[in-house]
Amino acid sequence: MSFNTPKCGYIVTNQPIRTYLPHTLTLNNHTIPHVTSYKYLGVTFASKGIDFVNQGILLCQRVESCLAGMRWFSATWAPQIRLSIFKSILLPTLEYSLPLLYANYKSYHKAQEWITLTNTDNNCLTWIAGGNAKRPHITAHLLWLLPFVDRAQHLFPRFYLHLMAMAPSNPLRAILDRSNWYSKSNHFMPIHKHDPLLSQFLNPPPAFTKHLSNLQHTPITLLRDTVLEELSTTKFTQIRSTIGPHSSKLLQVSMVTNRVPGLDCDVVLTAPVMDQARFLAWRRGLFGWGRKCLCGEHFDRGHTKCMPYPDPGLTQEQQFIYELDRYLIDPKTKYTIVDYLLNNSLWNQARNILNAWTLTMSNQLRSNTTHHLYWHY
Amino acid sequence: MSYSGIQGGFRSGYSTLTNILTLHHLIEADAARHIVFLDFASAFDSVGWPYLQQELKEQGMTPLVLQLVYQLMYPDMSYSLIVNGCQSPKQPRTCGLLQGSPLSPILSNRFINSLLHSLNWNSQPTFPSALFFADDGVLIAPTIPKA
Repeated sequence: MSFNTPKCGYIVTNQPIRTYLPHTLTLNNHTIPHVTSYKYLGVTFASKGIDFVNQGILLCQRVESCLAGMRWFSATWAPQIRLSIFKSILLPTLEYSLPLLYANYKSYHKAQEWITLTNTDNNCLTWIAGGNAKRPHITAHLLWLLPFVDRAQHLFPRFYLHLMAMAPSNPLRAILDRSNWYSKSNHFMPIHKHDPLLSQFLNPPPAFTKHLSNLQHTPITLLRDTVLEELSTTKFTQIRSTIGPHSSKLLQVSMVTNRVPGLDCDVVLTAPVMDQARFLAWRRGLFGWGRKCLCGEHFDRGHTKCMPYPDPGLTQEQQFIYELDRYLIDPKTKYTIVDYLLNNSLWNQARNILNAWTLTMSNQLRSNTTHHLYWHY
Repeated sequence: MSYSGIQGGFRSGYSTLTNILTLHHLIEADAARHIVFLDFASAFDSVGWPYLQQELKEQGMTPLVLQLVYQLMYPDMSYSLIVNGCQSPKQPRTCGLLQGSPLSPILSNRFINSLLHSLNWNSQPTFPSALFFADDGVLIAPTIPKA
């Protein structure tokens, strides 16, 4: 084995570069270059340790360049395919080193990198929904994804579990033991000003509350099961509340029965490929584009009184359940026949009705306006 | 010989993030004033059998196991180049670890193990003098004595 000396790097830490002349270090008769930052294990290090701002930018750049490449040929990809790509490629890229970035965010709540990461996450959601989709929190809700900060909040306890299961020979275990972290001392430790990042890992996160009294002696498998169960419950609550405060008029489709078990997202992502984007747009509340109908009201997903549609051919039992749903679900959410059909995977009927409504809207608008409009999703 | 504690690659109870957090802490604690990031040239492809055999022997591997490792990793391996449709004569492969073999990470860790033990021999218990994750290495020193 030999070293690639020009690609090695030498950093002098905690020293202003102007006042310090670094040593000249050589390896195999080649001088090791003195650098101000170096990417080690995918994380940028500078003279003060991890360069969090650059790290955030680096992660965003990786994801954005990947997105930019895919945008060229992903026009025909259904949202389900895009979601799978997001979960298997983009999300792991964006979440690399996230527990550390989140720990830094906890110390400095205005961490700059956090804004760029959240924006990139939103761009991914926009790409999944297709077109120029706005309101990423609604897309996230439909895809059963947590908002970015909450996702980091969930990764943090998982990383803490990993720390608890660290090998005894891992140097970090010795460092944490020496700092009297909770797993050793059973006491909460204050945040040290000289090392705020490590301090965030000295105390267990809230998901560990049930085992705080006996954390040291709880088997890691039991601890893992409890924590993951706790996180799963929290995730459900958080996702349900995601769109509540923002858009009370939107249909809450996070009911477990309306989600796909394998993909864990809204049932419309199992629709035929050609309809998925359209049905997802419907779920997101995009219908009518805010234009006015002849009756004077705005077109939206609940504006069905001016919309004649073909008979969906429901059985008596289905009709009864639909009426019951309408009675039980908050009228503000504008639950319509299309939602019933989508929930029950009756794709053809849903498509026929949406086609009819789109045609009605186009005709009305054509007679009402002088400019051309295109109704597409 | 046991694995050195500063090697985090291909081992349970280690991860890239634990190495990163360790290094960050050492910098914050002023225990890593001088840091050298190492870059190995084609680390996996340049492991030669004679050196690997010597290392494994020194680490107490029995001749039978050594023979087994050799049989699994090196014999009957050859390669050829195809340039503009013309194939070169086959060349025997004398060094390098097989990509995708479950044995390769173990042998790589074993191969580098002595070096890591040497690098970390005089370290304080809580301040390692080097950190490795597979072939990504970093040397750490609180001070450098003047020559």
